[in-house]
Amino acid sequence: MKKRQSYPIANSTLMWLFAALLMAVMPHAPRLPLLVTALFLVFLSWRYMMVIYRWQPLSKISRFALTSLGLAVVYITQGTLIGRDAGISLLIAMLGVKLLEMSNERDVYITIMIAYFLVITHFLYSQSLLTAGYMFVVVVVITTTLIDLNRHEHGGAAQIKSNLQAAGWLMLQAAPFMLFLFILFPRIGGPIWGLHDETRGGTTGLSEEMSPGMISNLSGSDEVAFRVKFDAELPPNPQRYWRGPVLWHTDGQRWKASISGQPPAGRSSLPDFEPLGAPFKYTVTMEPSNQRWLFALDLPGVIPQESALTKDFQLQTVKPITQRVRYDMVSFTEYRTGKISLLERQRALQLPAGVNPETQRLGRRWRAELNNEAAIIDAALRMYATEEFIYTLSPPLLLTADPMDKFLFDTRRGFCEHYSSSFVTLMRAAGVPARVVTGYQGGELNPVGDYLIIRQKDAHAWAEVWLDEFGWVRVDPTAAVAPERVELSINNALSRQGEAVTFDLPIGGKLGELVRKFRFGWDSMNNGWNQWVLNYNEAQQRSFLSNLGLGIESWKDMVIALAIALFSLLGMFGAFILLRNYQSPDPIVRLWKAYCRKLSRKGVWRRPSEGPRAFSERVVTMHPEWAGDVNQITQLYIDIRYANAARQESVRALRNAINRFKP
Amino acid sequence: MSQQPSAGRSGAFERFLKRRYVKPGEARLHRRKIFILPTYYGLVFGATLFIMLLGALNYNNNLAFMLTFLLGGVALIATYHTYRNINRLLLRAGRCNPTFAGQPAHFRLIVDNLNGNPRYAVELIANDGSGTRADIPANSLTALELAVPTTRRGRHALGLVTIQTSYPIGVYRAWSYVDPQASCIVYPRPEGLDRAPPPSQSVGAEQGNQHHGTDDFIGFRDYASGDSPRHIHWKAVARGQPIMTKQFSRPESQELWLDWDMLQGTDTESRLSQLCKWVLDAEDAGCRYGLRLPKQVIEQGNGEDHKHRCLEALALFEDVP
Repeated sequence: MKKRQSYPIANSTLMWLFAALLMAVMPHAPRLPLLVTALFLVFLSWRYMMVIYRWQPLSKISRFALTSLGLAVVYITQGTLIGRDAGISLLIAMLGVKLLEMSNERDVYITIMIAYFLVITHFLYSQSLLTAGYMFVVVVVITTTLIDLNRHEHGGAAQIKSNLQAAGWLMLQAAPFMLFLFILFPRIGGPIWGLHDETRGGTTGLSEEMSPGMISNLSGSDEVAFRVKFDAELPPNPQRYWRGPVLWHTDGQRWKASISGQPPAGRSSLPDFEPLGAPFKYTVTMEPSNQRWLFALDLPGVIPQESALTKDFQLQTVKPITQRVRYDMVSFTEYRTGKISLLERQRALQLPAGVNPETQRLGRRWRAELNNEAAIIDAALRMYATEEFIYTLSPPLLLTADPMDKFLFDTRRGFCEHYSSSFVTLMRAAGVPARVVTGYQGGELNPVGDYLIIRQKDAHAWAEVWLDEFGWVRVDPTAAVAPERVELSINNALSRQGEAVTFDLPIGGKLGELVRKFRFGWDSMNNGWNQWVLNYNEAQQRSFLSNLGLGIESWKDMVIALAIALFSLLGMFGAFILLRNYQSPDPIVRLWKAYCRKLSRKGVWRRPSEGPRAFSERVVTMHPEWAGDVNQITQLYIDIRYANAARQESVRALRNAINRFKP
Repeated sequence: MSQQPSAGRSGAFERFLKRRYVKPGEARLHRRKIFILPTYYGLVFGATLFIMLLGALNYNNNLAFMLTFLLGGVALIATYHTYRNINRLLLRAGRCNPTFAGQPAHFRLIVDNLNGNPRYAVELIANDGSGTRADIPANSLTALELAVPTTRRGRHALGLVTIQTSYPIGVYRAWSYVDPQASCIVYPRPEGLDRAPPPSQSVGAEQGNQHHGTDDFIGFRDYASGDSPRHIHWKAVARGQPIMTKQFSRPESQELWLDWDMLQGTDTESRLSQLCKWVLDAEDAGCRYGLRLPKQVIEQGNGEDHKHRCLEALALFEDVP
């Protein structure tokens, strides 16, 4: 801390710094007010000109003016100076000002520290694999700046390379430390202080309400909803119904969970159904949805932590899901549910009076003619299958007070929400208790990671009806219209406005194959990243460490384990870095060095200018008692090195002599 | 007149380290002699990491954790890199050309890098704070020059030298103290009246070698030590003959005795400064000159060697009452 002299800042250091800052700031640009980005770029270019054309540094007054300008711009564009977004704007604006006033070593250090800090702010917006990779490059460039600042001589392409190499090595060598710290550093559950509201962006997905068009909107999205890894076999595609919100109440147009929005059936601590087949065991990794539903294969057999199961088999968390969650799940695809309560029956038959009169009339007619639940269902499905119903992503709008009537008897073009809601309406009119279930259907198998990817476009709606002998039974009217829907995934690019939906068929040709492989490989990498890196939280840490079986239970154990790990790593690293350069590939040189080391321990150093003979003469003068050994070793060495003596025996003799030599 | 290195500026801890770990002479830096502590920037870096850690904890952001831990790892291993940057360097004093008081003494220190790692930005700092910085290539000897200001004539000891480095990332300072036992002869400051010394009366015939000037060549004589190399008959030497010196005739008046006793009435240092100036002037004018000090007499002569002999006598003059 003392006696540090200040050296002028080399231009090369400034150039590195400019590059590093540009790389660190620019990914924020789409999120920043345009004016802030512009201000930063102007200041950066200005400083660049100062270097290139030797412009004069700024006066104190103009620096003050520019600082005020920066503050003003941030305040005007953001309306505040506090909070995440405004804070980052402020940081970037002030970084620009700092660049202009930067004059000595200290300023450069401060700027570099701010640059490191700026990198971390990106992670509040994105933690994807791409972001991580890019930011790693940025960190290498920032570190290179730091190294260049600490160099004495500057300039030359060779130095650019050697500085980059040095920075890369530092990162590589720091990686094991990072790994241990990452695993063992005790995590705490929630935030230290609340800042979280702004981290939630708008996410697409299912909600507790279904109105016409909602799910068909989702069908345009390739965003991943969740990924599922099965322990053993996968259920066949027609059985892959991922259960989400269950909707009971309708006003004829929209469907809701209940009038109040809360699930009407109450919670149960145990799944109330009788499993009929073998269970499927799997693990779901769900992307944040800002909703409270956990998705599980129909029907879920266990209840994950911090969640509950409603009577209508919805899994709901206590708090909205704002971060990626992972849960283990067991499901039974064949089951018989328990009894229906009076209240449930009442709700499952609710229909608004006077709305959709045609539909209600049709239902009542079926009840009168058939008087058998199974036959009624059959009649409805037969209607969808045989009459001219078309399954389309962009159905015509149903802008009428009786949308079901218009759909069933007029347009006949619809998406799953149309089919499920019209079906349930028909059933209720015919006196069959029924409800709408929304969720996802299908999923794409990633052969690279051997897991299912369920995307938003797989969102689906189907129906459940109550039959006395089976309980609640799933009926998917969409499958009656478009059986492929439950076999294949929807292909967005090919499904045009108003046309019938096309489905993903395997793309032909080598290129198609390559594209598919790449897509699966990339998703598999992302999935691994999510599973192992981003999802590593307090609970994961605890279970990971207890699975290790090292007895690391409490955070105190973690701290101790961390200290041990870091110290041993440092020790190993030290041995590596300090000894690496002293090993010569030539065994003779190694022997000679070992001999010199023995002498150096006794305080006799070979001077670089001394050849073996001069050295040995000096040693003998200083320590006549070693004369015999020293002379023998020196003579052997000289013979081998310079006189080309018969090597094998001489080398052995030299080794023995040196091993014997005990100064 | 040797100057002791002043220890007044250094702290108690530093004084302890110096007393405990420094041995005079050639030194090889190794783990027991190298100290390492964070710099001011190291503390700033630590504070930055701490803030980043708080952010990561608060947002429960695993990438933020990773970055913080990566930089933490860099901070840990940088200790080794900084330490290694001066480890196993061999330091010894090189030659130091004499200088005049008031001008810097250029101490040369030989830094010997015995292994295959180049060392970057190694700093040497003298006791008075003057320093130098250089890169030291792998497997090489590098001479570094420390320019230390001088004020007084005499033998100027360099004293302890701090060798230090902050490479690669400036967050640590690794340093060691060495005492290379380097010293420099500092001649008196050449100043005084701008007048030539009075010619010495008795010179001339008494000495019998009046023909040594630079005007007309008059013949050869045997070489005597102190003769100017310019006057050696090199061609003869090249032929393998004994070394001969060319003799030239020169006016008598340019033979001088520079006498301490001529400068009565002023103090010792002023007298020495005046004598110093006379020596330089006489050498410039091509005179033959001798120096008479109270306890030492340097016979007349000229040339670089002669000049330095005289100046050294002045530099190391000890005023005995």
